[in-house]
Amino acid sequence: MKTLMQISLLSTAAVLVACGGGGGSSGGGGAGNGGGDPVARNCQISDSAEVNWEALENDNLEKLSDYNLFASSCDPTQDAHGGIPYDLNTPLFSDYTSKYRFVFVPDGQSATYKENDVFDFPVGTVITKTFALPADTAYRGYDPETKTETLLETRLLIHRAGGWTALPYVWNADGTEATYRVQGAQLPATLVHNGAQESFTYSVPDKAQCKQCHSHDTGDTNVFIPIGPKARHLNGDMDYGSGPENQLSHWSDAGILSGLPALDQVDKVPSYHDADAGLISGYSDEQLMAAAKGYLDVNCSHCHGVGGTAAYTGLQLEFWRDYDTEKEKHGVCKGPIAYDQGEMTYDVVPGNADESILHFRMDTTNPQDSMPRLGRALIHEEGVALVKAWINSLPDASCSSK
Amino acid sequence: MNVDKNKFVEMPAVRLLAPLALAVSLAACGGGGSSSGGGATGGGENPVGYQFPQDMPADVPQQEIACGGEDAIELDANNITDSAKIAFLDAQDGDVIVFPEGRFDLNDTLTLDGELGGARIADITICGQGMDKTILDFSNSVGDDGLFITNINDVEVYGLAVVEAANNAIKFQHADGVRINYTATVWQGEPDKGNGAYGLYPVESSNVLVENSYVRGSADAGVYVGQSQNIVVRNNVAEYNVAGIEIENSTGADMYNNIARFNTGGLLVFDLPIGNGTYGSGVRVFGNTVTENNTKNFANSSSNPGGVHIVPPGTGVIVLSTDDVEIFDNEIADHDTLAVAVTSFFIADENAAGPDYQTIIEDGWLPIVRNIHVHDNAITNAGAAPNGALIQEMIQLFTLTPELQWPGILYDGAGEQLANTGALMPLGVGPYEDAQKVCFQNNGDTLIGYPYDPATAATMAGPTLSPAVGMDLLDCSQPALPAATLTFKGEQFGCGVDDTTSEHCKPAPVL
Repeated sequence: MKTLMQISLLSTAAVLVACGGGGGSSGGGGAGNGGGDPVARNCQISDSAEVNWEALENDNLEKLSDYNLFASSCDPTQDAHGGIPYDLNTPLFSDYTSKYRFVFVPDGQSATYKENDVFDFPVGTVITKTFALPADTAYRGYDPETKTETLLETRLLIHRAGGWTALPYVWNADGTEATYRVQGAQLPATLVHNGAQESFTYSVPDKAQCKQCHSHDTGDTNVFIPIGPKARHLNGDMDYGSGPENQLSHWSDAGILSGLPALDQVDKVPSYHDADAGLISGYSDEQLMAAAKGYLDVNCSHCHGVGGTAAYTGLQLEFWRDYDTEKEKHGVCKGPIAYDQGEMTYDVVPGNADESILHFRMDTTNPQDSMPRLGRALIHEEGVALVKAWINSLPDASCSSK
Repeated sequence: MNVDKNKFVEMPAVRLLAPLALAVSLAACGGGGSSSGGGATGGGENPVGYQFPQDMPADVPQQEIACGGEDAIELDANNITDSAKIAFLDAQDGDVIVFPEGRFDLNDTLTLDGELGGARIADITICGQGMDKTILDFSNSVGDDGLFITNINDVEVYGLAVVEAANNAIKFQHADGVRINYTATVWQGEPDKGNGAYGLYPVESSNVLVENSYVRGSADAGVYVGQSQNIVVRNNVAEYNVAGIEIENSTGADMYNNIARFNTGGLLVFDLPIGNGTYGSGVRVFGNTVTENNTKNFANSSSNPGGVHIVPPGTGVIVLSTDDVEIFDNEIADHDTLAVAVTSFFIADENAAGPDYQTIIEDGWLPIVRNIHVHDNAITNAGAAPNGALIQEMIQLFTLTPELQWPGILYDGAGEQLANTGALMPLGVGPYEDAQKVCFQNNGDTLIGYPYDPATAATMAGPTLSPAVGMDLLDCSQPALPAATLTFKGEQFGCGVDDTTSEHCKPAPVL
């Protein structure tokens, strides 16, 4: 933690330079009233590295920078005040946006390791997740000066005494400040992906919509929980400045995670990113199974899993669930419970993606049909390609017709 | 499936013979049939673009809508989505959230989750200035539903219209105490499968009152109350939907004094094999005006054998695999196919007692109908042009057999015949006792028909085809079912409770 502090203090100077120089206003496709004349960027550089824990615990502040989570009010993608950056091996698809995640655990406390579920984080924990829109998905990485990406929103997940809560902050067009918007926002967006321009409406979920995914049924009530920070998604490397390091080991060493078993005892979702789509044809059936199950886990299982809001549909796609003994839970030859809109009969028809509802609902943007229900305005071509290849790789099985 | 299949080995194959066995083409529905006249009526005179029926049972357009008050939360007409979302997200016990007059473009689903932080909230009112004055248009929304209201006690919606939502117009889930009043849900234009699914849609809820409302154009059901208890649906108008009003997998429901017209099917009482332990019974359907439900079936086709895409166009009232249903004193007129259909689930899926259904049956569902009493209905002009993919073969049986003719009331009889023969013993169902019989009485000169006589013996091969038609078939009666009542904000509602003036709800005369 101390090392990180130093890094963030050191880089403050660099940020000052970047912000003082009057970077251009946000480029096309961003939110709000960007464009036009260059505007002097008014970045606030904090002179304290102390996170405003008290406000995080109690208040929904209007400006994100008032929590003092980051060195610069202009940049939630680096230089966190003690927060540790993390990635997921395979990320949830969110309209090709880039995501920047940090976890802040109060000093002297730690999250408890869980084998399959999200870690048990102590009260006071804050997770930040910033979504940025790349002008072209071929060139990712947020740089406040070059503006190859435009900041859209930063979500705070805060573990308060009464439970987890989600606070959405929406960035202004200049990327100089994010403001609390409990009601979310609809942001016109444009990006280039694989050479093709896509224009769409990016949805910042409102607080109630957040809960539709961040929900776990404990039997008595639905509680709000984080989704991503599970062992199997974090079990991969990140470069913290001194070469690749396993994220879980790093968390454990930093003292924010307790109970971590030996890494060879920890499940691991394989990494699958958009650039990997070109490799699918070379995947073995085993690799396809693992990659597809990892993708379905991170994109679907928070609802389609035990305790999720769509567990009742019978489609339950947790990575740890064994395919061979629980095919029906994977949708194989299973009719839909809550979907009445198409002519297909089964969620998954082995060997036949084109006849599988699971594939169809990923491969459409029609609001009546599309899955996930929230947070996707574009089709994830690389995700669809993976799931299609997986279904087609499954040994043909004729689902008996009712 | 890890279920014990041995239990089912000894029963005869519950497979239906022709004609039902041929009726497996569930995909292509809505063949032929005279679609009802009119189609869409745009209503150019109305300043907000919609014209509501002038014959609402309770004079709704003329009704003064009082929505507001000193402590009410007035939404911002210039920023309706944001201000509504904020009000919904910040809702506290007792809030009255007021939509102003006008037509508004909403750009996302408005979600009211009463359990966003801490205890579940209660007593929330969401209202507008009248269903023809406050129009919430979701044509350009990125969300699927219009309003989604969940985890809440005692919520009331009145005086507004939700139009052109991508999926459902107003959905309630996990709500105890729902009152919908003077509310419209509309998909304008010709009936189209691209329209949203349900209009007014309380599901997994209890104490539900839907009244004085208008539902039009749903590609599934205009009013759909599902997996709920203690339900009253009254004084509504449902038109140009696939199903006008549907009660599904619910218990304790009264559906009365509604107008259901120009739908594919008017009023539906369904109990479907959904596998979550929630099954329906105890539904009264009375005093409704059910006319000209002859619109072609425009539902999305589906693999679900009990989906509304199976509804034969031109059907007034349908009971599907639900026990304890009383249908009386309705006016049911001008239906191409049937005034009333009462059927087991075998008509939707001939294997409805087979291995695929074993877990569902263990879960509490049964494919049969028991204790159904259809009496004293005024039925006219039923069955002049029967159609519908599901019943094509049955239509041929009745129309091509010399001594038969197509009836106005149809009961399949298959489940009862199988039960009476002992074939359903593995399901725990023995021969029907008197209290379980399906009865038809005093429905004028309407012909009643069945393809499977309950008194004929089924064989190991399945039910025995034994069709008959007559005016006094299955002439028996059942005790009246109790009225459904519900509690909303501590007050009791129901026919004979708050409503003591409707024909069927007046206090019994003191002798």
